[in-house]
Amino acid sequence: MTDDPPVERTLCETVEAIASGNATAASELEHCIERIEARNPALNCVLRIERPRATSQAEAADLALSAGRPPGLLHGVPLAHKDMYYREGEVSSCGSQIRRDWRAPITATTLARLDAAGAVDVAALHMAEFALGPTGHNAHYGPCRNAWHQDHISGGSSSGSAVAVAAGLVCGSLGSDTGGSVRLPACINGIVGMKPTYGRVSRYGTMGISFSVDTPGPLARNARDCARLMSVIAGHDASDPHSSTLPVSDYENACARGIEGLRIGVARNYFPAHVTPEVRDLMEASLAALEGLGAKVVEVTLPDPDHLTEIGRAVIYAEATAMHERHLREQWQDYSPQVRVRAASGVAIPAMSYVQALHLRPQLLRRFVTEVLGRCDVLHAPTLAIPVPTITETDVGSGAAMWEVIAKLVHCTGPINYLGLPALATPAGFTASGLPAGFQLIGRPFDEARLLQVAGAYESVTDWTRRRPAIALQA
Amino acid sequence: MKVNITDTATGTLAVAQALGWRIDGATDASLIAQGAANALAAVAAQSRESLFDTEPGCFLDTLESLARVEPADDR
Repeated sequence: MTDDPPVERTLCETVEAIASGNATAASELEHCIERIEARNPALNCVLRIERPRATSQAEAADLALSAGRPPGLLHGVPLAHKDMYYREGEVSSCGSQIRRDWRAPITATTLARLDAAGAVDVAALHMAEFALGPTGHNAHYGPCRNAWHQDHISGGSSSGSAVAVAAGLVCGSLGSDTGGSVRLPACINGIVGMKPTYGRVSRYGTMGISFSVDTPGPLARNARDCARLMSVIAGHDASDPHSSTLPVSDYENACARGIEGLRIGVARNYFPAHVTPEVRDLMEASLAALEGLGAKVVEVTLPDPDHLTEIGRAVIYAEATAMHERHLREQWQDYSPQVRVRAASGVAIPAMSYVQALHLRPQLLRRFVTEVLGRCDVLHAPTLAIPVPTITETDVGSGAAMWEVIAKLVHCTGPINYLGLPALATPAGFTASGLPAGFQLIGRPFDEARLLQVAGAYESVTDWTRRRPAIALQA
Repeated sequence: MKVNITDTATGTLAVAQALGWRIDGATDASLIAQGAANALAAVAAQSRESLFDTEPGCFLDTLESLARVEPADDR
Protein backbone atom coordinates (compact mmCIF):
# COMPACT_ATOMS: atom_id res chain seq x y z
CA MET A 1 0.00 0.00 0.00
CA THR A 2 1.09 3.57 -0.55
CA ASP A 3 2.60 5.57 2.32
CA ASP A 4 0.17 8.42 1.75
CA PRO A 5 -2.99 8.20 3.84
CA PRO A 6 -6.03 8.13 1.54
CA VAL A 7 -7.25 11.51 2.74
CA GLU A 8 -4.20 13.23 1.32
CA ARG A 9 -4.54 11.84 -2.16
CA THR A 10 -6.04 13.96 -4.87
CA LEU A 11 -8.51 12.52 -7.36
CA CYS A 12 -5.85 11.71 -9.96
CA GLU A 13 -3.53 10.27 -7.30
CA THR A 14 -6.34 8.05 -6.05
CA VAL A 15 -6.99 6.69 -9.54
CA GLU A 16 -3.26 6.03 -9.97
CA ALA A 17 -3.05 4.30 -6.57
CA ILE A 18 -5.92 1.97 -7.46
CA ALA A 19 -4.70 1.32 -11.00
CA SER A 20 -1.21 0.47 -9.76
CA GLY A 21 -2.47 -1.86 -7.05
CA ASN A 22 -1.45 0.36 -4.14
CA ALA A 23 -5.09 0.70 -3.10
CA THR A 24 -8.43 -0.86 -3.96
CA ALA A 25 -11.72 0.79 -4.79
CA ALA A 26 -13.27 -1.09 -1.87
CA SER A 27 -10.69 0.21 0.63
CA GLU A 28 -11.02 3.77 -0.73
CA LEU A 29 -14.78 3.54 -0.33
CA GLU A 30 -14.51 2.34 3.27
CA HIS A 31 -12.09 5.18 4.13
CA CYS A 32 -14.45 7.60 2.43
CA ILE A 33 -17.51 6.45 4.40
CA GLU A 34 -15.51 6.55 7.65
CA ARG A 35 -14.55 10.15 6.93
CA ILE A 36 -18.13 11.11 6.12
CA GLU A 37 -19.42 9.53 9.32
CA ALA A 38 -16.74 11.26 11.40
CA ARG A 39 -16.87 14.74 9.88
CA ASN A 40 -20.33 15.26 8.48
CA PRO A 41 -21.98 16.02 11.85
CA ALA A 42 -19.91 19.22 12.01
CA LEU A 43 -20.37 20.10 8.34
CA ASN A 44 -23.83 18.90 7.25
CA CYS A 45 -22.64 18.54 3.66
CA VAL A 46 -23.88 14.96 3.06
CA LEU A 47 -27.62 14.25 2.87
CA ARG A 48 -27.48 10.48 2.28
CA ILE A 49 -24.79 7.83 2.02
CA GLU A 50 -25.65 5.38 -0.76
CA ARG A 51 -23.67 2.44 0.58
CA PRO A 52 -25.20 -0.52 -1.34
CA ARG A 53 -24.80 1.12 -4.74
CA ALA A 54 -21.33 2.45 -3.95
CA THR A 55 -20.18 -0.93 -2.67
CA SER A 56 -21.41 -2.58 -5.84
CA GLN A 57 -19.59 -0.02 -7.99
CA ALA A 58 -16.36 -0.39 -6.00
CA GLU A 59 -16.49 -4.18 -6.24
CA ALA A 60 -17.04 -3.94 -9.98
CA ALA A 61 -14.05 -1.61 -10.32
CA ASP A 62 -11.79 -3.99 -8.38
CA LEU A 63 -13.05 -7.00 -10.33
CA ALA A 64 -12.36 -5.26 -13.63
CA LEU A 65 -8.75 -4.68 -12.68
CA SER A 66 -8.39 -8.26 -11.43
CA ALA A 67 -9.67 -9.44 -14.80
CA GLY A 68 -6.96 -7.45 -16.54
CA ARG A 69 -9.19 -4.78 -18.01
CA PRO A 70 -7.64 -1.31 -18.38
CA PRO A 71 -8.60 1.20 -15.70
CA GLY A 72 -11.06 3.98 -16.47
CA LEU A 73 -10.15 7.64 -16.08
CA LEU A 74 -11.89 7.66 -12.70
CA HIS A 75 -11.33 4.04 -11.78
CA GLY A 76 -12.58 3.35 -8.26
CA VAL A 77 -12.44 6.96 -7.13
CA PRO A 78 -15.05 8.02 -4.55
CA LEU A 79 -17.20 10.93 -5.72
CA ALA A 80 -20.47 12.41 -4.50
CA HIS A 81 -22.76 14.94 -6.14
CA LYS A 82 -25.24 17.69 -5.55
CA ASP A 83 -28.60 16.06 -4.88
CA MET A 84 -30.06 17.12 -8.21
CA TYR A 85 -28.30 14.63 -10.50
CA TYR A 86 -30.87 11.97 -11.25
CA ARG A 87 -30.27 8.25 -11.07
CA GLU A 88 -33.15 6.06 -12.24
CA GLY A 89 -35.24 4.75 -9.37
CA GLU A 90 -33.31 6.65 -6.68
CA VAL A 91 -34.31 9.63 -4.56
CA SER A 92 -33.22 13.08 -5.70
CA SER A 93 -34.49 15.66 -3.22
CA CYS A 94 -33.15 18.75 -5.01
CA GLY A 95 -32.62 20.12 -1.50
CA SER A 96 -36.36 20.55 -1.09
CA GLN A 97 -39.21 19.37 1.06
CA ILE A 98 -41.37 19.08 -2.04
CA ARG A 99 -39.12 16.42 -3.62
CA ARG A 100 -37.84 14.86 -0.41
CA ASP A 101 -38.95 11.36 -1.47
CA TRP A 102 -39.13 11.86 -5.23
CA ARG A 103 -37.51 9.11 -7.29
CA ALA A 104 -35.97 9.94 -10.63
CA PRO A 105 -37.29 8.18 -13.75
CA ILE A 106 -34.02 8.62 -15.68
CA THR A 107 -30.26 8.74 -15.09
CA ALA A 108 -28.28 11.89 -15.81
CA THR A 109 -25.91 11.63 -18.75
CA THR A 110 -23.14 13.04 -16.57
CA LEU A 111 -23.60 10.29 -13.97
CA ALA A 112 -23.69 7.64 -16.69
CA ARG A 113 -20.38 8.97 -18.03
CA LEU A 114 -18.80 9.01 -14.58
CA ASP A 115 -20.02 5.44 -14.01
CA ALA A 116 -18.54 4.34 -17.32
CA ALA A 117 -15.20 5.88 -16.32
CA GLY A 118 -15.19 3.72 -13.19
CA ALA A 119 -16.20 6.29 -10.55
CA VAL A 120 -17.91 5.27 -7.31
CA ASP A 121 -20.92 7.46 -6.43
CA VAL A 122 -20.93 7.46 -2.64
CA ALA A 123 -23.50 9.97 -1.47
CA ALA A 124 -26.04 12.67 -2.22
CA LEU A 125 -24.86 16.10 -1.16
CA HIS A 126 -26.43 19.15 0.44
CA MET A 127 -27.61 21.97 -1.81
CA ALA A 128 -29.73 25.09 -1.63
CA GLU A 129 -33.43 24.35 -1.94
CA PHE A 130 -34.01 23.88 -5.70
CA ALA A 131 -30.52 25.41 -6.19
CA LEU A 132 -31.96 28.84 -5.44
CA GLY A 133 -29.52 30.37 -2.96
CA PRO A 134 -25.86 31.43 -2.86
CA THR A 135 -25.21 31.02 0.88
CA GLY A 136 -25.62 27.32 1.79
CA HIS A 137 -28.64 27.92 4.01
CA ASN A 138 -31.41 25.38 3.70
CA ALA A 139 -34.55 25.64 5.82
CA HIS A 140 -35.38 21.94 5.40
CA TYR A 141 -31.98 20.31 5.93
CA GLY A 142 -30.14 22.94 7.98
CA PRO A 143 -27.19 25.05 6.85
CA CYS A 144 -24.15 23.45 5.26
CA ARG A 145 -21.05 24.69 7.10
CA ASN A 146 -17.77 25.99 5.74
CA ALA A 147 -14.96 23.45 5.72
CA TRP A 148 -12.51 25.99 7.16
CA HIS A 149 -14.66 27.55 9.85
CA GLN A 150 -18.02 26.09 10.68
CA ASP A 151 -19.56 29.41 11.75
CA HIS A 152 -19.18 30.70 8.20
CA ILE A 153 -21.24 30.00 5.13
CA SER A 154 -20.40 27.22 2.71
CA GLY A 155 -21.60 29.20 -0.27
CA GLY A 156 -24.18 27.80 -2.63
CA SER A 157 -26.03 26.50 -4.27
CA SER A 158 -23.54 23.60 -4.68
CA SER A 159 -22.82 23.85 -0.95
CA GLY A 160 -22.29 20.16 -0.15
CA SER A 161 -20.14 19.62 -3.23
CA ALA A 162 -17.57 22.22 -2.20
CA VAL A 163 -17.50 21.31 1.48
CA ALA A 164 -17.27 17.56 0.87
CA VAL A 165 -14.26 18.05 -1.41
CA ALA A 166 -12.54 20.67 0.75
CA ALA A 167 -12.98 18.59 3.90
CA GLY A 168 -11.50 15.53 2.19
CA LEU A 169 -14.67 13.46 2.28
CA VAL A 170 -14.59 12.75 -1.45
CA CYS A 171 -12.15 13.43 -4.29
CA GLY A 172 -14.51 15.37 -6.55
CA SER A 173 -18.09 16.36 -7.12
CA LEU A 174 -20.57 17.70 -9.62
CA GLY A 175 -22.39 20.93 -8.91
CA SER A 176 -24.29 23.30 -11.15
CA ASP A 177 -23.86 26.99 -11.91
CA THR A 178 -26.71 29.30 -12.94
CA GLY A 179 -25.46 32.44 -11.16
CA GLY A 180 -22.22 31.34 -9.52
CA SER A 181 -23.32 28.15 -7.78
CA VAL A 182 -20.15 26.20 -8.57
CA ARG A 183 -17.65 29.06 -8.39
CA LEU A 184 -18.88 30.69 -5.18
CA PRO A 185 -18.77 27.60 -2.93
CA ALA A 186 -15.49 26.51 -4.56
CA CYS A 187 -13.96 29.90 -3.71
CA ILE A 188 -15.47 30.01 -0.24
CA ASN A 189 -14.03 26.59 0.63
CA GLY A 190 -10.65 27.00 -1.07
CA ILE A 191 -10.98 24.52 -3.92
CA VAL A 192 -11.26 24.64 -7.73
CA GLY A 193 -14.63 24.82 -9.50
CA MET A 194 -15.45 25.01 -13.19
CA LYS A 195 -18.50 26.56 -14.82
CA PRO A 196 -18.19 25.25 -18.39
CA THR A 197 -19.48 27.00 -21.48
CA TYR A 198 -23.24 26.71 -21.90
CA GLY A 199 -23.76 23.57 -23.99
CA ARG A 200 -20.42 21.94 -23.14
CA VAL A 201 -21.78 19.54 -20.49
CA SER A 202 -25.13 17.78 -20.82
CA ARG A 203 -27.97 18.79 -18.52
CA TYR A 204 -30.02 15.69 -19.34
CA GLY A 205 -31.26 14.14 -16.11
CA THR A 206 -30.45 17.10 -13.88
CA MET A 207 -32.85 19.42 -12.08
CA GLY A 208 -33.22 22.67 -13.96
CA ILE A 209 -33.62 26.23 -12.79
CA SER A 210 -33.32 27.94 -16.13
CA PHE A 211 -32.81 25.85 -19.26
CA SER A 212 -31.25 28.82 -21.08
CA VAL A 213 -28.57 29.33 -18.44
CA ASP A 214 -28.02 26.17 -16.33
CA THR A 215 -24.57 24.62 -16.53
CA PRO A 216 -23.35 21.50 -14.71
CA GLY A 217 -19.76 21.73 -13.54
CA PRO A 218 -17.12 19.90 -11.50
CA LEU A 219 -15.49 20.81 -8.18
CA ALA A 220 -12.17 19.31 -7.12
CA ARG A 221 -9.06 20.08 -5.12
CA ASN A 222 -6.91 21.29 -7.99
CA ALA A 223 -6.92 22.11 -11.69
CA ARG A 224 -5.76 18.69 -12.85
CA ASP A 225 -8.52 16.90 -10.91
CA CYS A 226 -11.04 19.34 -12.33
CA ALA A 227 -9.65 18.70 -15.83
CA ARG A 228 -9.98 14.95 -15.36
CA LEU A 229 -13.64 15.29 -14.40
CA MET A 230 -14.27 17.64 -17.33
CA SER A 231 -12.66 15.23 -19.75
CA VAL A 232 -15.20 12.59 -18.68
CA ILE A 233 -18.38 14.68 -18.57
CA ALA A 234 -17.87 17.14 -21.47
CA GLY A 235 -19.06 16.47 -24.99
CA HIS A 236 -22.13 16.18 -27.13
CA ASP A 237 -25.23 14.47 -25.82
CA ALA A 238 -28.14 13.98 -28.19
CA SER A 239 -30.49 13.83 -25.20
CA ASP A 240 -29.83 17.51 -24.39
CA PRO A 241 -31.11 19.75 -27.21
CA HIS A 242 -28.71 22.50 -26.11
CA SER A 243 -25.61 20.32 -26.24
CA SER A 244 -22.75 21.46 -28.46
CA THR A 245 -21.20 19.18 -31.08
CA LEU A 246 -17.81 20.92 -30.94
CA PRO A 247 -14.92 18.59 -30.10
CA VAL A 248 -13.62 18.40 -26.53
CA SER A 249 -10.14 19.75 -25.80
CA ASP A 250 -7.36 17.94 -23.95
CA TYR A 251 -8.03 19.51 -20.58
CA GLU A 252 -5.55 17.55 -18.50
CA ASN A 253 -2.52 18.27 -20.66
CA ALA A 254 -3.50 21.94 -20.73
CA CYS A 255 -2.80 22.15 -16.98
CA ALA A 256 0.93 21.65 -17.56
CA ARG A 257 1.44 23.90 -20.57
CA GLY A 258 2.74 27.08 -18.95
CA ILE A 259 1.51 30.60 -19.71
CA GLU A 260 4.51 32.43 -21.19
CA GLY A 261 3.15 35.26 -23.35
CA LEU A 262 -0.53 34.80 -22.46
CA ARG A 263 -2.50 37.99 -21.87
CA ILE A 264 -4.43 38.16 -18.60
CA GLY A 265 -7.19 40.78 -18.74
CA VAL A 266 -8.09 42.84 -15.68
CA ALA A 267 -11.21 44.99 -15.72
CA ARG A 268 -10.91 48.71 -15.05
CA ASN A 269 -14.61 48.89 -14.18
CA TYR A 270 -17.21 46.91 -12.22
CA PHE A 271 -15.02 44.58 -10.14
CA PRO A 272 -12.65 47.17 -8.53
CA ALA A 273 -15.51 49.27 -7.17
CA HIS A 274 -16.88 46.43 -5.05
CA VAL A 275 -13.79 44.59 -3.86
CA THR A 276 -12.71 45.01 -0.25
CA PRO A 277 -9.05 45.97 0.37
CA GLU A 278 -7.91 42.58 1.64
CA VAL A 279 -9.50 40.73 -1.28
CA ARG A 280 -7.98 43.31 -3.64
CA ASP A 281 -4.52 42.67 -2.15
CA LEU A 282 -4.91 38.94 -2.79
CA MET A 283 -6.04 39.64 -6.36
CA GLU A 284 -2.96 41.78 -6.96
CA ALA A 285 -0.68 39.13 -5.49
CA SER A 286 -2.21 36.51 -7.79
CA LEU A 287 -1.67 38.74 -10.81
CA ALA A 288 1.95 39.28 -9.78
CA ALA A 289 2.40 35.50 -9.63
CA LEU A 290 0.93 35.12 -13.11
CA GLU A 291 3.22 37.87 -14.42
CA GLY A 292 6.13 36.04 -12.82
CA LEU A 293 5.19 33.05 -14.98
CA GLY A 294 5.54 35.14 -18.12
CA ALA A 295 1.97 36.31 -18.61
CA LYS A 296 1.21 39.89 -19.54
CA VAL A 297 -1.50 41.76 -17.62
CA VAL A 298 -3.66 44.04 -19.79
CA GLU A 299 -6.46 46.35 -18.73
CA VAL A 300 -9.89 45.97 -20.32
CA THR A 301 -13.24 47.70 -19.95
CA LEU A 302 -16.35 45.58 -19.51
CA PRO A 303 -19.35 46.72 -21.60
CA ASP A 304 -22.44 47.36 -19.43
CA PRO A 305 -21.55 44.80 -16.74
CA ASP A 306 -24.28 45.96 -14.33
CA HIS A 307 -26.92 45.16 -16.92
CA LEU A 308 -25.66 41.66 -17.66
CA THR A 309 -26.61 40.15 -14.32
CA GLU A 310 -29.96 41.90 -14.29
CA ILE A 311 -30.92 40.91 -17.84
CA GLY A 312 -29.88 37.39 -16.96
CA ARG A 313 -32.28 37.51 -14.02
CA ALA A 314 -35.15 38.29 -16.37
CA VAL A 315 -34.39 35.02 -18.18
CA ILE A 316 -33.69 32.95 -15.07
CA TYR A 317 -36.73 34.14 -13.11
CA ALA A 318 -39.12 33.69 -16.02
CA GLU A 319 -37.94 30.15 -16.71
CA ALA A 320 -37.69 29.17 -13.03
CA THR A 321 -41.22 30.31 -12.33
CA ALA A 322 -42.51 28.48 -15.38
CA MET A 323 -40.90 25.30 -14.00
CA HIS A 324 -42.18 25.85 -10.48
CA GLU A 325 -45.68 27.02 -11.37
CA ARG A 326 -47.48 23.81 -10.42
CA HIS A 327 -45.61 23.50 -7.13
CA LEU A 328 -46.27 27.19 -6.41
CA ARG A 329 -49.98 26.60 -6.98
CA GLU A 330 -50.31 23.29 -5.13
CA GLN A 331 -47.54 23.25 -2.50
CA TRP A 332 -46.89 26.91 -1.80
CA GLN A 333 -46.47 26.19 1.91
CA ASP A 334 -43.76 23.56 1.36
CA TYR A 335 -41.22 26.11 0.11
CA SER A 336 -39.06 28.05 2.55
CA PRO A 337 -40.11 31.73 2.47
CA GLN A 338 -37.00 32.96 0.62
CA VAL A 339 -37.02 30.25 -2.03
CA ARG A 340 -40.76 30.68 -2.54
CA VAL A 341 -40.22 34.34 -3.35
CA ARG A 342 -37.30 33.58 -5.66
CA ALA A 343 -39.11 30.75 -7.43
CA ALA A 344 -42.11 33.02 -7.95
CA SER A 345 -40.20 36.09 -9.15
CA GLY A 346 -40.84 35.34 -12.80
CA VAL A 347 -44.47 36.24 -12.32
CA ALA A 348 -43.32 39.87 -12.38
CA ILE A 349 -41.36 39.45 -15.64
CA PRO A 350 -43.62 40.18 -18.61
CA ALA A 351 -43.28 37.75 -21.52
CA MET A 352 -42.17 40.73 -23.61
CA SER A 353 -39.17 41.37 -21.33
CA TYR A 354 -38.25 37.68 -21.30
CA VAL A 355 -38.23 37.54 -25.09
CA GLN A 356 -36.23 40.76 -25.29
CA ALA A 357 -33.70 39.43 -22.75
CA LEU A 358 -33.19 36.28 -24.82
CA HIS A 359 -32.98 38.26 -28.03
CA LEU A 360 -30.29 40.54 -26.60
CA ARG A 361 -28.11 37.63 -25.56
CA PRO A 362 -26.20 36.87 -28.79
CA GLN A 363 -25.63 40.58 -29.36
CA LEU A 364 -24.26 41.20 -25.87
CA LEU A 365 -22.14 38.05 -26.03
CA ARG A 366 -20.55 39.15 -29.33
CA ARG A 367 -19.82 42.56 -27.89
CA PHE A 368 -18.23 41.12 -24.74
CA VAL A 369 -16.09 38.66 -26.67
CA THR A 370 -14.94 41.36 -29.08
CA GLU A 371 -14.30 44.14 -26.59
CA VAL A 372 -12.96 42.08 -23.68
CA LEU A 373 -11.85 38.62 -24.80
CA GLY A 374 -10.56 40.00 -28.08
CA ARG A 375 -7.96 41.88 -26.08
CA CYS A 376 -6.87 39.16 -23.70
CA ASP A 377 -6.68 35.38 -23.53
CA VAL A 378 -8.49 35.15 -20.21
CA LEU A 379 -10.16 37.65 -17.93
CA HIS A 380 -9.08 37.60 -14.27
CA ALA A 381 -11.58 38.74 -11.63
CA PRO A 382 -12.40 38.07 -7.99
CA THR A 383 -14.90 35.28 -7.43
CA LEU A 384 -16.26 36.83 -4.24
CA ALA A 385 -15.56 40.52 -3.65
CA ILE A 386 -15.88 40.36 0.13
CA PRO A 387 -14.50 38.14 2.92
CA VAL A 388 -16.64 35.05 3.55
CA PRO A 389 -19.55 36.09 5.82
CA THR A 390 -20.92 34.08 8.71
CA ILE A 391 -24.04 31.93 8.63
CA THR A 392 -25.73 34.33 11.05
CA GLU A 393 -24.91 37.44 9.01
CA THR A 394 -26.56 36.00 5.93
CA ASP A 395 -29.53 34.29 7.59
CA VAL A 396 -32.04 36.87 6.37
CA GLY A 397 -34.83 34.57 5.24
CA SER A 398 -37.28 36.49 3.09
CA GLY A 399 -36.65 39.75 4.94
CA ALA A 400 -35.95 43.11 3.39
CA ALA A 401 -32.20 42.40 3.20
CA MET A 402 -32.69 39.28 1.06
CA TRP A 403 -31.96 40.81 -2.33
CA GLU A 404 -29.05 42.83 -0.98
CA VAL A 405 -27.34 39.75 0.49
CA ILE A 406 -27.83 37.78 -2.72
CA ALA A 407 -26.59 40.65 -4.88
CA LYS A 408 -23.40 41.04 -2.82
CA LEU A 409 -22.54 37.37 -3.10
CA VAL A 410 -23.19 36.92 -6.82
CA HIS A 411 -21.86 40.31 -7.90
CA CYS A 412 -18.73 38.91 -9.55
CA THR A 413 -20.15 35.65 -10.88
CA GLY A 414 -23.60 36.66 -12.16
CA PRO A 415 -22.68 38.50 -15.38
CA ILE A 416 -20.87 35.48 -16.80
CA ASN A 417 -23.85 33.12 -16.67
CA TYR A 418 -26.04 35.22 -18.94
CA LEU A 419 -23.18 35.29 -21.46
CA GLY A 420 -22.75 31.51 -21.29
CA LEU A 421 -18.97 31.82 -21.04
CA PRO A 422 -16.69 29.35 -19.24
CA ALA A 423 -15.21 30.38 -15.91
CA LEU A 424 -12.93 28.65 -13.44
CA ALA A 425 -12.67 29.57 -9.75
CA THR A 426 -9.39 28.86 -8.01
CA PRO A 427 -8.11 29.70 -4.52
CA ALA A 428 -5.66 32.59 -4.03
CA GLY A 429 -5.07 32.89 -0.29
CA PHE A 430 -6.87 33.72 2.92
CA THR A 431 -8.42 36.82 4.41
CA ALA A 432 -7.71 37.96 7.97
CA SER A 433 -10.51 35.77 9.31
CA GLY A 434 -8.73 32.67 7.99
CA LEU A 435 -11.30 31.98 5.29
CA PRO A 436 -10.32 31.34 1.66
CA ALA A 437 -10.51 33.91 -1.12
CA GLY A 438 -9.92 33.35 -4.80
CA PHE A 439 -10.16 34.54 -8.35
CA GLN A 440 -12.04 33.36 -11.39
CA LEU A 441 -10.71 33.09 -14.91
CA ILE A 442 -13.19 33.78 -17.67
CA GLY A 443 -12.54 32.64 -21.21
CA ARG A 444 -13.86 32.63 -24.72
CA PRO A 445 -16.62 30.13 -25.53
CA PHE A 446 -15.41 26.51 -25.25
CA ASP A 447 -11.94 27.63 -24.15
CA GLU A 448 -12.03 25.71 -20.87
CA ALA A 449 -8.57 24.32 -21.62
CA ARG A 450 -7.09 27.83 -21.48
CA LEU A 451 -8.60 28.42 -18.06
CA LEU A 452 -7.14 25.16 -16.79
CA GLN A 453 -3.81 26.07 -18.36
CA VAL A 454 -3.64 29.31 -16.36
CA ALA A 455 -4.89 27.71 -13.16
CA GLY A 456 -2.40 24.86 -13.52
CA ALA A 457 0.47 27.29 -14.01
CA TYR A 458 -0.66 29.34 -11.00
CA GLU A 459 -0.74 26.21 -8.84
CA SER A 460 2.85 25.47 -9.85
CA VAL A 461 4.08 28.56 -7.98
CA THR A 462 1.56 28.71 -5.12
CA ASP A 463 0.36 26.20 -2.55
CA TRP A 464 -3.22 27.35 -1.99
CA THR A 465 -4.75 24.20 -3.46
CA ARG A 466 -2.55 22.09 -1.18
CA ARG A 467 -3.68 23.85 2.00
CA ARG A 468 -6.18 21.79 3.95
CA PRO A 469 -8.72 22.83 6.59
CA ALA A 470 -8.22 21.39 10.07
CA ILE A 471 -11.20 19.09 9.71
CA ALA A 472 -9.61 17.44 6.66
CA LEU A 473 -6.55 16.51 8.71
CA GLN A 474 -8.48 14.69 11.41
CA ALA A 475 -7.77 10.98 11.63
CA MET B 1 -35.85 53.65 -16.95
CA LYS B 2 -37.09 53.25 -13.39
CA VAL B 3 -39.66 50.60 -12.59
CA ASN B 4 -42.34 51.50 -10.04
CA ILE B 5 -42.12 48.78 -7.42
CA THR B 6 -45.53 49.47 -5.88
CA ASP B 7 -47.24 49.16 -9.25
CA THR B 8 -45.24 46.04 -10.05
CA ALA B 9 -46.18 44.52 -6.70
CA THR B 10 -49.85 45.26 -7.28
CA GLY B 11 -49.65 43.64 -10.70
CA THR B 12 -47.71 40.69 -9.30
CA LEU B 13 -50.33 40.06 -6.65
CA ALA B 14 -53.10 40.20 -9.23
CA VAL B 15 -51.36 37.75 -11.57
CA ALA B 16 -50.45 35.38 -8.74
CA GLN B 17 -54.02 35.33 -7.52
CA ALA B 18 -55.30 34.76 -11.05
CA LEU B 19 -52.99 31.74 -11.28
CA GLY B 20 -54.47 30.38 -8.08
CA TRP B 21 -51.33 30.79 -5.98
CA ARG B 22 -51.92 31.28 -2.31
CA ILE B 23 -49.30 34.00 -2.29
CA ASP B 24 -48.45 35.52 1.07
CA GLY B 25 -50.22 38.75 0.20
CA ALA B 26 -48.53 42.07 -0.23
CA THR B 27 -45.29 41.02 1.54
CA ASP B 28 -44.28 38.39 -1.00
CA ALA B 29 -45.59 40.48 -3.88
CA SER B 30 -43.46 43.42 -2.79
CA LEU B 31 -40.32 41.26 -2.52
CA ILE B 32 -40.99 39.71 -5.91
CA ALA B 33 -41.45 43.15 -7.40
CA GLN B 34 -38.19 44.37 -5.86
CA GLY B 35 -36.35 41.42 -7.34
CA ALA B 36 -37.84 41.95 -10.77
CA ALA B 37 -37.59 45.73 -10.95
CA ASN B 38 -33.89 46.00 -11.77
CA ALA B 39 -34.14 43.16 -14.28
CA LEU B 40 -36.98 44.88 -16.13
CA ALA B 41 -35.13 48.20 -16.12
CA ALA B 42 -31.96 46.60 -17.48
CA VAL B 43 -33.80 44.82 -20.29
CA ALA B 44 -35.52 48.06 -21.25
CA ALA B 45 -32.24 50.00 -21.16
CA GLN B 46 -30.50 47.56 -23.49
CA SER B 47 -33.40 47.04 -25.88
CA ARG B 48 -32.49 50.00 -28.07
CA GLU B 49 -33.43 48.34 -31.33
CA SER B 50 -36.89 47.22 -32.25
CA LEU B 51 -37.15 43.48 -32.75
CA PHE B 52 -38.62 44.37 -36.16
CA ASP B 53 -35.15 45.46 -37.24
CA THR B 54 -33.05 42.55 -35.99
CA GLU B 55 -32.74 38.88 -36.80
CA PRO B 56 -33.31 36.34 -34.05
CA GLY B 57 -30.16 34.41 -33.22
CA CYS B 58 -29.57 30.95 -31.79
CA PHE B 59 -27.47 31.43 -28.68
CA LEU B 60 -25.63 28.10 -28.92
CA ASP B 61 -24.77 28.82 -32.56
CA THR B 62 -23.38 32.19 -31.51
CA LEU B 63 -21.27 30.60 -28.79
CA GLU B 64 -19.92 28.02 -31.24
CA SER B 65 -19.14 30.63 -33.87
CA LEU B 66 -17.24 32.74 -31.36
CA ALA B 67 -15.28 29.72 -30.14
CA ARG B 68 -13.32 29.92 -33.35
CA VAL B 69 -12.60 33.65 -33.17
CA GLU B 70 -8.95 34.45 -32.56
CA PRO B 71 -8.10 37.37 -30.26
CA ALA B 72 -7.15 40.72 -31.74
CA ASP B 73 -3.59 40.75 -33.02
CA ASP B 74 -2.09 43.04 -30.42
CA ARG B 75 0.01 40.63 -28.39
